[in-house]
Amino acid sequence: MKYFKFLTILLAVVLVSIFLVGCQEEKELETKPANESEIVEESSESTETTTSETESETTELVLYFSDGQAMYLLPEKRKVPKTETPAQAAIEELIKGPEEAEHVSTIPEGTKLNGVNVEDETAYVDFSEEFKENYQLGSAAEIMTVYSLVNTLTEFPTIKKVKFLINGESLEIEGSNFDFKTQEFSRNADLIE
Amino acid sequence: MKLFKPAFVAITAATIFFVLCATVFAAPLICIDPGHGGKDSGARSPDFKIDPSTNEITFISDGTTNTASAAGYIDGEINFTGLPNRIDSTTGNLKLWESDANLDISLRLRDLVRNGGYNICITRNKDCSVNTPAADINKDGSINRTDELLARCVVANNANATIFVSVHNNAYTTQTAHGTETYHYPGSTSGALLATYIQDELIKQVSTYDRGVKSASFTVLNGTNMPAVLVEGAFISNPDEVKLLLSPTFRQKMAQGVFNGIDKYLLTTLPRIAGSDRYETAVYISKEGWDSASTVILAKGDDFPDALAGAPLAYKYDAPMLLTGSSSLNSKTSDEIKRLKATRCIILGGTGAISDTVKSELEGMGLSVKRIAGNNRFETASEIAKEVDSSSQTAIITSGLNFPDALSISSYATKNQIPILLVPKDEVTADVKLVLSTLEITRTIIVGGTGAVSQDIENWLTDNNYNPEKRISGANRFETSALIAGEYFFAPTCAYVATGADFPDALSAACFAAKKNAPIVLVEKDSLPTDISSYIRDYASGLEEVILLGGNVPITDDVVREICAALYF
Repeated sequence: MKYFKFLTILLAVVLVSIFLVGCQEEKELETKPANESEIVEESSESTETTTSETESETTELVLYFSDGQAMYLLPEKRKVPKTETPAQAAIEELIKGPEEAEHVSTIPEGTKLNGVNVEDETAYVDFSEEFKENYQLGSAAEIMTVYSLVNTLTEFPTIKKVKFLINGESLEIEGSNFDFKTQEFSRNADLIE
Repeated sequence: MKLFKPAFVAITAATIFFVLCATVFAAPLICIDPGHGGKDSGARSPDFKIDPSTNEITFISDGTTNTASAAGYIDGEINFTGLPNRIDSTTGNLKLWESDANLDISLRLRDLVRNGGYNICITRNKDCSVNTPAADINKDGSINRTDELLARCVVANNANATIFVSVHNNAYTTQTAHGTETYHYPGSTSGALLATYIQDELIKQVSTYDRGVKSASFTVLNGTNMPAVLVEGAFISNPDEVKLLLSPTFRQKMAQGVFNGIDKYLLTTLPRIAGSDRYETAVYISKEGWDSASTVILAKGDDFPDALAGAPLAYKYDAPMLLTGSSSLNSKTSDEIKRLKATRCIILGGTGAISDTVKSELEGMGLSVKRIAGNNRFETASEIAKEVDSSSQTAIITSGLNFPDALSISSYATKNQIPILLVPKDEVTADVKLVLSTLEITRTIIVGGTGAVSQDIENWLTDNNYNPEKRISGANRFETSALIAGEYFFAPTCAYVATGADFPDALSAACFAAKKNAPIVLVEKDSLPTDISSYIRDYASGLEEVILLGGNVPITDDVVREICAALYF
């Protein structure tokens, strides 16, 4: 009886191991860089022996969220898997929202990012229709939305200005105090607390 | 033909000049822009209900009910007076639309501005969008937003508005965000000043949380040609502030705050030259008037007679007039002498007025120093007159016992290099007699009544062929000042205003005023004398600059307000 139990457990362990290895291989094939860096991130947290080689597998982003009063932008550092398109990753993280309790999300609800294209130090940020539809009016809200994006993007030395697009088009947003159709935005450091 | 051409040019130039000038001090026009409107409601409040029997407001959010009593808010007065009821047809709940609140506050502001005597224009006076003709309606009937905002700018620009005020209310995704803020265009100093005054006055009126003055590149701030601000009164997204905005009393106070800020801003459009004391004011005047000067004139700062007569001399050498204490050289004055890179200093008055210690200090700074002094103020004035050595053959005879009359005449005398001779009330001193003959004076102007320069003096001048062709004398120093300005400064483009209660500010400015061919008119500390007011009114259309000498202690804001009224209305 005891012997049978031992065999069962052994079999289970072997099966699970095979399954896990299989999964990992499958994952690696699909999204190899992401998976690797996830592992690296975990290990770098658990041990103090991180090498520079493993560090380079993640990118640290500085994201700007709002305070509850819509007075200031508050920086939040976040590590993401190393990527060829860090600007895009930064905006995806802004859309996900803040991790720190007192930070407030600044991106209109439901907004999806179509892409970020950088040309001549200007980032063209292309959002889905929801950015426009759910855009929060009011100067305070507008400034938080616009400059959380602009200040986050201008953290990258290659980006000096930001222009917003909706599904690839220069569009105005009804009720906005800004002229989204023509305006390019530069960093506003005064808003950062 | 040769004659004709310059005449033609002169006439054309004069015409252009007067046309330009005519617009300078017209009553300011305030363009009020109620934000949003029509299809664009702006921000909308959270849903709420009002219980008509208790006047209690209940906010409905996420299925929970946040009940707040209307009591305790401004006058306990909360209703929709002046605002349309925005009722959701399915839920029956109410909302406050930003566009409605903006319009109501703007219309109240319009009335206040009108009653204040200013001109107004308003971008919309009902619930509608602001359109430039045809161009900005999209095919689907929606408004082309950019053009809609630019249309608001066009209204202000076409009206040639003095200032532009866009009235908004704020919103955020959190219900806790609250308070009042005012925006100006980044880098606009006049916009920042206007925003600061409006923000301060708003907070005084409504006591909301002060979010401060901010800058943003908003379309209406960018597209307007004049100082422009965008006011965010309160948060439409904050239930407590919605309650405030529902109160007509609160909206009236908000309009009052904005108006007070506008009014205050328009008062400050008159520049002041003012230091923390008389010495510094003299330094500031010097800085305004001179980038450098080889000669400076130094007079005693706490008494007037020596400096009174000194202005024509300062003008002769194109020298700023600086002041010092008697025992040591004032440090601000010393710094200014260095800035001017002066090589020569003329001290007015004897060692009793300015000590030899001061003279040594100046020499130590590498300046050559000359002292012009007599045994008393009358002699010093005569010595100065000899130094001016003018060929005008004219002299001013005025009292050496008091300063206002000499101050008022100083700019004219300086400009025309006419020596100012000081006399005691009823005696022509030997020194004055000597100057009159040395300078071959053939014409004299007496400034002051017979109480200051006696009839005996006038008779003596007549008897000795010094031809006192004019006595300028008002009932008081202010009337005399107005008479002098009226007599010698016809249609000036610039005028200086100084207190009639003390001398230093105007003293230092005489040479500067003379350079601009501008009168110095005297005012009381807290009111504008009638005669000066009339003079300003008469020439308001030609005045391009009115400059106040001294801070708001010698010339209070009340006086400035009256001067602006005389200029504008």
